[in-house]
Amino acid sequence: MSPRWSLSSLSYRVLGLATVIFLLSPLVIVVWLSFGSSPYMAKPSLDFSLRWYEEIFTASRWTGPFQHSLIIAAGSSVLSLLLATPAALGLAKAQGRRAVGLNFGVMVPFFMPGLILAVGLLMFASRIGLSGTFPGIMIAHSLWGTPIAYLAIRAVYAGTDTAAEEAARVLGAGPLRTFFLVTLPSILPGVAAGALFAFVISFNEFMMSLFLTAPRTVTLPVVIWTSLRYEVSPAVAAIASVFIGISVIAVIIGLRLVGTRGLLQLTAADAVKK
Amino acid sequence: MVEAATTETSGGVSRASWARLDRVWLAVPAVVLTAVFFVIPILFMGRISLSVHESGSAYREGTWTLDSYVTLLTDSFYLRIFSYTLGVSLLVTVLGLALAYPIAYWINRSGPRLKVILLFAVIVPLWTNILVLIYGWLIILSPGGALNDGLMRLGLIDAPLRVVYNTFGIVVGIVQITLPYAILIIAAVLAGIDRSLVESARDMGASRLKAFLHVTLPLSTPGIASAATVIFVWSMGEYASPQLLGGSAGKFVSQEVSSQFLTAFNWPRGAGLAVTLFSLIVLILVVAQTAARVTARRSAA
Repeated sequence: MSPRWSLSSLSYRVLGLATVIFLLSPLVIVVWLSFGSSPYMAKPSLDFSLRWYEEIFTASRWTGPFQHSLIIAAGSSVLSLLLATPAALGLAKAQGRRAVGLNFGVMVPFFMPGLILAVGLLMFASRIGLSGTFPGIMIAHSLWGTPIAYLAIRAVYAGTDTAAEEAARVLGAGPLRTFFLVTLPSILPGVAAGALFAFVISFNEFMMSLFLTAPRTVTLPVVIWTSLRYEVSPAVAAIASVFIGISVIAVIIGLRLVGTRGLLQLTAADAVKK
Repeated sequence: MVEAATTETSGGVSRASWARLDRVWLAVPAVVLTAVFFVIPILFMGRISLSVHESGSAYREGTWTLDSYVTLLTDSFYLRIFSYTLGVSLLVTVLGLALAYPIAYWINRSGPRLKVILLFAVIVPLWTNILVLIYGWLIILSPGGALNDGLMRLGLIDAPLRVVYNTFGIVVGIVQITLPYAILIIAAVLAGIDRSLVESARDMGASRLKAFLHVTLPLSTPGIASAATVIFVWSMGEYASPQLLGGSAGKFVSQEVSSQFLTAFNWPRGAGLAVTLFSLIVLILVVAQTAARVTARRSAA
């Protein structure tokens, strides 16, 4: 019995470790390359330099798109929260056909590939004058930001007790007062996590940005795309490392906000909870 | 709204209205976003796919034709693109599940500290821009890159391996991108399985492997199915990986959609391709959903 036990328990650990190495190796190699001085993309070396970081934080071809990305991610995150918070409050504890239908209506863009959304919006946005504008791309990104923020807030709100809200109402508080003084404080971790998720999704999004941005709104991922396709500068490795750094910080904040269980459930919830 | 909030002060009244207020309607603004910026564009795309192509102006307004769909069905070029996309997506799905399950199982069995570390290692790549991941694989897999360099220095190979700019490269890229989702979905389902079921199987004399094969694995099939759906749907619509890591072996549908829109400027054909891809994805999602519901009902009965 025991040899088989140790063999099987060892095997999933070994396979798991191999998967971790597979998942992290592109990140490690990019960060390594970004600190080198070689002007070529190929292999990392052992010399250390910060010249590529100096370039990305000073050259306008990188700093401009960086600013656009931040503006768009912030705007899209706010828009997503404004739409997702009421939806989560309305649907978290609701049952019945209507609730299922509305839930589907909120979630459906989340399952669509970026390309489909991008192509559809390309033809539509030029008609209504949103093509190439900041609001246009913010709205596009909130198609993914709203569902993810909705999931985060819904998960937290579903675990709260409505007694406090009802008490506030009985004592004469209006719906808005009740929301700001009672409901909002209790769902704040969900709102913060939702804002974070929506921000990260928008900051990383590339397909819709490729189709919908103009030179004055172009985002960092689109610049990376162009650079990867036409001339690979090691400055891309420095930019890529900035993305990795932001991802690491976001995951740490996310773990703080909703914990390991919350993060696990949230990422899996959309596919499992149906 | 604000007026109602300030005037409505009597306790009894507001309590009653609180109960009466149908709060599901709070979801309407979010649904309007979906309707205006997802449903209408899709309908618009469907309409354009039925228009006549006119060189110079993308499409001619007000015309009706089935040309783009006839081309898609009769030209073997498009058949090849769809079958290549489907084939690679199936391969990616099988590989992804095989890699995701062991680590998901490990995450579920590990203590709190190791669990945080493993989740961290899975979620950081999930939240990293996919172009950054692809860039990393380009550095590793390119003919003069880290992998070939290392293997040649160790004397294991004489000439660089062809591991990028072909189907292999695409598979590595899409597996890398979709694997974290699959792992988290399977781990979440495994976490929901009642450990006492496995333990009672062990108590009744089942070996650890047998208990796994007859209890844990069947109970985790909903997770495997969801993970497979997510990987497959993602792969079907993937653009960046085939474009940057693929080669002349084949083309993905999304690459052709993009080149019809951005280079050939043939909107009806691009829209026709996109509508076909969209319908395929919806079909897969509906089938997966129905299958999940049927199995859930059967296991409940």
